[in-house]
Amino acid sequence: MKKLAFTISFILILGIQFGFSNESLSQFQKATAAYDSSNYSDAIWLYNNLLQEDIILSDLHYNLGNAYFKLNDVPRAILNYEKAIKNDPNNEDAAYNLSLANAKTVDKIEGIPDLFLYRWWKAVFNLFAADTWAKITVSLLFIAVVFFALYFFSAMLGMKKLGFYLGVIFIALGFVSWFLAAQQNSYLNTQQYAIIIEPTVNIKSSPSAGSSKLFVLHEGTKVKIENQTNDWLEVSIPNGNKGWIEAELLEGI
Amino acid sequence: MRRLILTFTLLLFVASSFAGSINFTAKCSHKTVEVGQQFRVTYSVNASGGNFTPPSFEGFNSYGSGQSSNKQIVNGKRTIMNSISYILVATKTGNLKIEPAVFEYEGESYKSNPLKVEVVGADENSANAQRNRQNNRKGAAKELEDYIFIQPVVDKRSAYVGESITVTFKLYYQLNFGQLSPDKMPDYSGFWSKDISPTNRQDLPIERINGEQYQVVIVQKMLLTPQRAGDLEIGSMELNTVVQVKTQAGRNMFDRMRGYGVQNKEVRLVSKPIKITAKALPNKGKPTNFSGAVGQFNMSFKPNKTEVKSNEAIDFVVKISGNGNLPLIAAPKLNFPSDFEKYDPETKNNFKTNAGGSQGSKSFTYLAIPRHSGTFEIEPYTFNYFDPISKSYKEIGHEPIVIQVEKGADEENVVFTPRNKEEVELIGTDIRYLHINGVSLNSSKDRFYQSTLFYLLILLGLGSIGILFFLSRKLKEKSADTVGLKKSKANKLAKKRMAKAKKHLDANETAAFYEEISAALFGYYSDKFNISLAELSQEKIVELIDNKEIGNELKLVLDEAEMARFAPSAGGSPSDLYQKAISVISKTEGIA
Repeated sequence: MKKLAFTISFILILGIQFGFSNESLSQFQKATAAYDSSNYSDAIWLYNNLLQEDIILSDLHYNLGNAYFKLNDVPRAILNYEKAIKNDPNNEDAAYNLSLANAKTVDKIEGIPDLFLYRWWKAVFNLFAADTWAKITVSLLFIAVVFFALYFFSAMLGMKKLGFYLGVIFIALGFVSWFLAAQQNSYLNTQQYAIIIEPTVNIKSSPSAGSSKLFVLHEGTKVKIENQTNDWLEVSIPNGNKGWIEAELLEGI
Repeated sequence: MRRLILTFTLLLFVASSFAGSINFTAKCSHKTVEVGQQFRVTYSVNASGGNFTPPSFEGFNSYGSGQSSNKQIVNGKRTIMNSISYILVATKTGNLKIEPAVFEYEGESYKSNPLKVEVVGADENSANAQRNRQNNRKGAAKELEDYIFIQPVVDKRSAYVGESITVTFKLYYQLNFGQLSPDKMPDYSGFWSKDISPTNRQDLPIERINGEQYQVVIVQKMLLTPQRAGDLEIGSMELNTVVQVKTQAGRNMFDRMRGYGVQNKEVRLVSKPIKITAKALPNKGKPTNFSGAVGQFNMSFKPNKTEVKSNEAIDFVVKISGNGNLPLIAAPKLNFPSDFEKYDPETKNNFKTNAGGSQGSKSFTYLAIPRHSGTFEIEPYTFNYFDPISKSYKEIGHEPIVIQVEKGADEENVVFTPRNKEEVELIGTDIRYLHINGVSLNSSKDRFYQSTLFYLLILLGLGSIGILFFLSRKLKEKSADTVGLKKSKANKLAKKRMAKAKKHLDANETAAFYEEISAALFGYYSDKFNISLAELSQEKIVELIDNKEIGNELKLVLDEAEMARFAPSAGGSPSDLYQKAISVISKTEGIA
């Protein structure tokens, strides 16, 4: 019992983040004030400043997305909501606002969903952010340490057995959680999807300006990045159509 | 007979006040004719009224006559020219003379100049001879065709497909004619045709055919454009009309007595079909998207504005001007960006179609509405046409048109993709508010995963498992050592206590040995429990030891030692007893 309480408090201690700089905080508050007074461009500028200081945060992207949404810049609102969700899969508000923003886009593409196994796998590692998975990893490891101590020092055979098995299980779970953290991290750091920023773009058959047009997409549409050359990206849309687009016309999530 | 003539001329020659000298002349269309060839003798006088007497035309056959009257006002003076002509055919060769005709006017008698005609033998091959033979075969009823006939005239016999041809049906006449009633209009199959006949009757200058003068009037003028390559035919036109024929009926006395008469004759005028060779446009250099335009053109393509807001209409005007088959030019197909809502073009014609083809311009106005903002480039439209003069294809392009579409205020409301129900429901709501509480503004450098702290904690966890393992091993080892030490200590003590007994055992002093075993054990327990020997008994010791096993063992040892003291032969060997005694002491030490 005492051991369990110790573990929980250990997780809580890890969960408490380190303090953040006052300057960032004041910028954040200024941005909120600007948003409240409908001064959305200023809010956008401030949020972008914060993001440039390597503060990559779901909430910050979410707020930035809101500011863009208020300015009716739908593609950038979608981009930031998507980033918010990517950074924190549990950001429900971002998901909700994203659905609103998506309702304003032009292209309606009926898509084939991912393979269910991949969907499940994604749902699993997206359950928590990489940092949370890392914390879970450490916590599980320390619980395992406690069970191993029980195994090592208990004079009673039953307790010894229990300690051994639970210790092995928890250390294994710790490594699984570490793997999930790595998955989440690589998922965050690779841009698999992109949002079309320009109002109307032509998707070409090959990465050159003169090639023939395949189809037209509009701002706010999410495309999957399949391939990349210098200034061109090969993208696919959920219905399976593929084509090349100039990289500057869209922005990766 | 003369009176009849007089009456006739008086009827025809409108009386008018006329002053001036009378000029009465005779003209012959040919100076030399073949036998059988028709020619014409015309008598003209610049006066109205009067009495005209033709000569006898000896040596000639006369085929009726025609009259015409020509009034002119020159410098305020009114002049009139009445003429009467006779179609004559020579019947014999030689230099023949036509006697002067007589014209009596206001009491005066005028004579025309005499005419001389040289009549030669017929040339079998000449066109006139053939024609005459033909006429002769057709018989007298057909002879009228020489006085009045329709001749289609085309400006060219061969043209490219799409190139314009003008055909003019001219009516040549020397006889007065009545109402023209068309019986069969020409067949223009294979042509695109447009009637460009003058609205009013248009008299053309008098033409001479085979030396004879004809008055000419346009019956119909058509602009024809061949629609396919190959030999095309402009069909024949058939007209019915009535002509007035002055008859010099017969050559016998009675006929002469009756003199000349005027007779209305129905005539059927049939034009000859004309073959037109329509040449296919050359394949060499033919654009794949050839517009079908043939002629000389210019093209302009302009939007009425290049900067608009979304959902604002733009007019794109394609104007094709020039000379050619403008009516046949179809609206060009323009490729607008797919985000433009486009409508069918409105066509405005501003050209005139006349003999040279159609001249002017044709403009197509395309209404297009950009539905989304952005920069759009209208794909260049190239107008191509065939120039029949240079016999080559020509293209007119234009600069690319860039349309800048700003975001209109109502852009989102007019997206025409139908939204599904769920989305419609969402539109009425607003986005959720900012996240302001519990936001931690950590630099991404402070991220936990892959941070040093993270790896340290992992190491710490795994390390502490190792350390715990190591510690538990050590502890076990240590505890095992203490037992051994205690055991050896107790053994040592027991051996010390039993040192005397051992001495007796070695000296084989059995009685002393047994005595010493008991004494040593009692001495040991006396020391152990701090009880004086006097108070110590076997029962007391067993009670104090509080261990059944050791107690029983002790009892056995003490009993055996007592028994052996008094009956040395009884019991086991003394050395066994010694070992047992030592074991008891050791065990006692072990538990306490």
